[in-house]
Amino acid sequence: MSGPLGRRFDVVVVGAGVLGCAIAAELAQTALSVCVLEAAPDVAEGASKANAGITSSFYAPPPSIECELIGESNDGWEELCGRLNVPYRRIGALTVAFDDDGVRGLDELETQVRAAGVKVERVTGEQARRHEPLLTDECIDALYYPDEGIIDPVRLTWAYAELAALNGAELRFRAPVLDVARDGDGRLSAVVTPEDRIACRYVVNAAGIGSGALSALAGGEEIRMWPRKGQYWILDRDFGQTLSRIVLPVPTPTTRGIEVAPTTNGSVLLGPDAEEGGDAEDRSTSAGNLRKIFAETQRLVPTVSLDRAIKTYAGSRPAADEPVRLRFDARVDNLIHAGNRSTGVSTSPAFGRRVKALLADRGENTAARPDRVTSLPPVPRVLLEADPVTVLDRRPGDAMVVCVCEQVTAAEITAAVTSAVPARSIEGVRKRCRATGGRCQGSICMAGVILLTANAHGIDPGQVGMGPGGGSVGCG
Amino acid sequence: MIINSPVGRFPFEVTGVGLVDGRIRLEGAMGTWPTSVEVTPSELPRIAARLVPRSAAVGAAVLGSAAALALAARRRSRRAA
Amino acid sequence: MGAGLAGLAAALELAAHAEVELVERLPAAGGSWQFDHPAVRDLVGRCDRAGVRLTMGVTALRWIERRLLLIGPGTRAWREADHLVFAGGTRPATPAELPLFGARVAGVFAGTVAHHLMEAHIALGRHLAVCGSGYWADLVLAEAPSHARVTVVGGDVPASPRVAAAWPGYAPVEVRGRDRVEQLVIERDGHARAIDCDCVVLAADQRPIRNVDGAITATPDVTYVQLCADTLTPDAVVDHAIATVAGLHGRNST
Ligand SMILES: Cc1cc2nc3c(=O)[nH]c(=O)nc-3n(C[C@H](O)[C@H](O)[C@H](O)COP(=O)(O)OP(=O)(O)OC[C@H]3O[C@@H](n4cnc5c(N)ncnc54)[C@H](O)[C@@H]3O)c2cc1C
Repeated sequence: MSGPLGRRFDVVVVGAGVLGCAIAAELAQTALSVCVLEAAPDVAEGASKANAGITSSFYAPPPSIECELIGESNDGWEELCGRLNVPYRRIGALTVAFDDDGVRGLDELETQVRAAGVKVERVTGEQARRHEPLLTDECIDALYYPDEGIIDPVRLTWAYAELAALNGAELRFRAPVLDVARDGDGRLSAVVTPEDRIACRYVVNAAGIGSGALSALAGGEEIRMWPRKGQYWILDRDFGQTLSRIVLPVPTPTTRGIEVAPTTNGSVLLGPDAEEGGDAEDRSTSAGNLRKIFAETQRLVPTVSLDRAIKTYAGSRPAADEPVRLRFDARVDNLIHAGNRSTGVSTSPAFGRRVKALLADRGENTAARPDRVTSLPPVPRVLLEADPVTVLDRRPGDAMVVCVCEQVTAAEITAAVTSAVPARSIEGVRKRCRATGGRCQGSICMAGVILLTANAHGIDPGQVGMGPGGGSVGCG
Repeated sequence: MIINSPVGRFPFEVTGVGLVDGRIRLEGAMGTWPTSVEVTPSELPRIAARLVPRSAAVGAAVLGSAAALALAARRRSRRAA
Repeated sequence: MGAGLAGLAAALELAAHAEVELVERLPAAGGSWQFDHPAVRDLVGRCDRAGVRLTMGVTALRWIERRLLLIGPGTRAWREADHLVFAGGTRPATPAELPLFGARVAGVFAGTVAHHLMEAHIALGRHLAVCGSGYWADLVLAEAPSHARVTVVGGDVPASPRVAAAWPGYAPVEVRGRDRVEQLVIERDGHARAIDCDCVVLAADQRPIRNVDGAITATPDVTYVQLCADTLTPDAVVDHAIATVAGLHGRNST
């Protein structure tokens, strides 16, 4: 194969979603050299941006790999998120039943959850309403999961990427893997992007919805993948402050159902629905779906109101016949599949460790380097501080608020645009620190955010990225 | 002096002028905010050539005040007033 | 909170009866009217003489149990107060508020943002679709480069030579495009049509800016002074502010 000769890496990770970044963060702390190749212009542009940010304590009945991975991940969130400055709260979830069918559904679910060894309480409607006062009077019976939590999934992805980069991993964006090279034994010897040919000893397929195509390209197993789209409303923090738990209906075989979920930045999500097929890149929202979503969530929490809606969004789960893949390919000896349809965020810590273990099984030295970085420098997030005065008195230079709705300081934005894996777009800034993501959707601060981003990268403001697809502010 | 930045128009009162590390430094306040403007001699021809900086990036460099840029002031045009 | 004309007028009105502090995010009074507008200068002088404490360049973030959180260069404090008068200005409606669905792509701007960027000579597109008429739309039309084709959706048809096409009575309902907006679907009485554009400016439907936690919706210890209209005169803003706070004095002293 021709083309410029790029660097050689021990491991190439394809995809900078939550799984690819979690894996890179873990491997970069060893002696292995790591390169992450991402087709999009930034981290977390696929499913990892479109999810509800719930760290599940239970999803699929045992025995299942999903159950194991959730179990391996769920106890460690406080410690991990403390080290990586990722907003996280273990707030608990309620699955609620309205009628006899629902009660039977809960019976079955309870058996599965108990078999998985996950903490759960069966509660009456009355008790459930004590856990969540906004819950409907219609609820007659419920399961309460105290260990369920909420996390900022994009911030988590970015934090993993930062940790990987600080430990020496190379992250390349706008670098879709379009081809591979194989040696005589059918092992992958290099991957090819439009710019470069990157030699490697292992390839991790963390390409989300693109995993099937990548496997085909690599001569690996056939993985049938399709998008399962979900849409959401986001309601204002003003309403979010009154909601304390995740509220879900009884799940169906394919989804957890349309839920009412607080987020770590105080807002509330209504959604997601589940629509099979279509275009994986399609992030458009539609009035019809969103109307239905609202009606269903209103049944759970009657006080939800679209007067408090600040945004809608959509994204696709990477659905596959094998929803969770974490293993070597059956045909290509040095290709690892790492994919998860519905609980990629919840299982990401375990994915990192398990991929490391897979490589250790192959005789690779995966011992942690003594000089590795394990935490990220904290930047105070005013919004999450009970008393910002005390915090900012220690850092008076940070006391300049740019995005008032989300209480984001210039220091937070500067950190987002100058970090190891910096934001290069308005979307990138929003993802990292929430600026422009609040109730006015950047009506007041967006021009300032554009200029700070342009200055950080020495580019013209018109060149600053805007939409998720990579379009920029300026045109013509 | 008036700072007419793309994100707001504010009074700038100069309280001191000096040379710092070969740069001309204007000390002052933009409204209530302490603000300084630093210009290197090599920038002067560029400024002179343009007189009024057009692009926001150049404006930003000349202003030297992230604070000023970070704020989106809304302008009501003279016509509306 | 808010030292535009409304906040200045409200502060002055209340100063005769109460101890008043006027807090403003920007480093000078005036808000969208700007610091050197004669009405602003006049009110700032009168506020000063009436003993209003002017705290400029400091952002109010939270109002909890009659304490206002203030953050800014040089000021980090919780200020105790009996009542908050919120004069935070207005902005155009967001996509969720309109509501406008469809693709999330580059090229869709709030009128406030579009205006700032155009003023900085950043080209936002060759074919602009401006939704709504009135204050923000006028500013954007005034700044639109001469080579850009402008279509106005909804509102009154502005008497501007800059407007190539207008669709009065229509509302924007869906954005289409891949990386950047390519079409805006607009609707009137159930009739939809798609117009080609590479930039959408949302300038319709003025909403009050609400950005202080605890003072987002109606609350007994907050009074909102935010006149929402497509076009405003200084007199209208001042009169509205005075009328709105008129009933306040005496209330907290009893
Ligand atoms: C609506 C919805 C709700 C969800 N809710 C939750 C939840 O509450 N909790 C939870 O744990 N999980 C949830 N999930 C699931 C979770 O989001 C996914 O499991 C997880 O994001 C998958 O991560 P990933 O890194 O595999 O995929 P992605 O984030 O999609 O990343 C894959 C990346 O690979 C890149 N790529 C693809 N092909 C190539 C190529 N050839 N070359 C280079 N790069 C390539 C893509 O651009 C993409 O960035 C939800 C998902 C959705 C859509």
